Amino acid sequence: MTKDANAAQGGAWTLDRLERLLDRYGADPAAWPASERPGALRLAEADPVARGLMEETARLDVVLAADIEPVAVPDGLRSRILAAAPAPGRQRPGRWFGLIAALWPFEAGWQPAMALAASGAIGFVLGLSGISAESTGVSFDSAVDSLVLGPVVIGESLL
Amino acid sequence: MREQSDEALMARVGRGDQAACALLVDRHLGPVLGFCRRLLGDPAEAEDTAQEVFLRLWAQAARWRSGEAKLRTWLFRVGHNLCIDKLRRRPTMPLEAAGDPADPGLAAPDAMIRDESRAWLRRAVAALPDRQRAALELCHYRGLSNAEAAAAMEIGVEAVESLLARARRTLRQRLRAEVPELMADA
Repeated sequence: MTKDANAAQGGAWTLDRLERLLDRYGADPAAWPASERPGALRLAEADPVARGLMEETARLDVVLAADIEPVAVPDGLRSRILAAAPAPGRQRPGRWFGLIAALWPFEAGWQPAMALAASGAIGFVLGLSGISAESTGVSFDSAVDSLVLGPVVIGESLL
Repeated sequence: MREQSDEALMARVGRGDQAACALLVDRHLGPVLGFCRRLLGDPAEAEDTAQEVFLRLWAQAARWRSGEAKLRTWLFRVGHNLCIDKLRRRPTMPLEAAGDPADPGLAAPDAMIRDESRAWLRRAVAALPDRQRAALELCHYRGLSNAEAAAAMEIGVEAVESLLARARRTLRQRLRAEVPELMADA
């Protein structure tokens, strides 16, 4: 029976429609939507081409089913994954510590962090105090020295 | 003893419980590795990818919210995204140059040729477009529902069903054309 003849006789049931059903759900009628089952089975019974499509699909189902089996996992892969797993004494670093560690991989991250903070503090103090080479006649280098090393006493005055 | 749910195990993983980590790995690594092998076709690359999936899981463990995503779906979604990224970065090569796909199930190399239909099927599945292969692998080989596969692939359920149907049609047509004797014997 041709597709056209089938469509004329069975209304909506055509070989194309049966093929779409088989491709989507396989050859087992139990897996088909209940509403599709009677029409599709009637077509398969009446049309040898439709029956051939069902047989082809059933064979593909068998080949596909024969290929399902557990996957063997290499021991090394399992060990590597578990070695990186969270542990009570091995919590992952927070975002900021992780960033510092990435930027400064040489030693403890607090050292560059403290150096950076100290530089910022010195700049902040200098800015607040309004010290400038023009107003005081003191160079920037000597101002930093006085902050870091303490004031230099010359005679009775403090620079 | 009753098997603990993935949710319960993830709560323990978040507290650094190594036994829970091992249980989750034993439960999910095989399917994730099989999925990556089928998509990538390269055993070493698949192992690296499966490892990356679990490293990302460990990184998420402390912040894992139960109920937001099913663990199995989450694992396949991360695996799928990683595989697709790797496939996109690959230079395209003629199909003949790709060689036989990796055996996704067995370690023994001769197992692949033990069964003619299996060997043929794996070559045919490996030649499917990436998304069709992913949908087939998730639904047929890994047993995910169409809805779970849709979540893992971040597409709609209808799209998954369409990918599956196209994959099955291609396989059926190739089976008929290339190994008709297999069609008769199967």
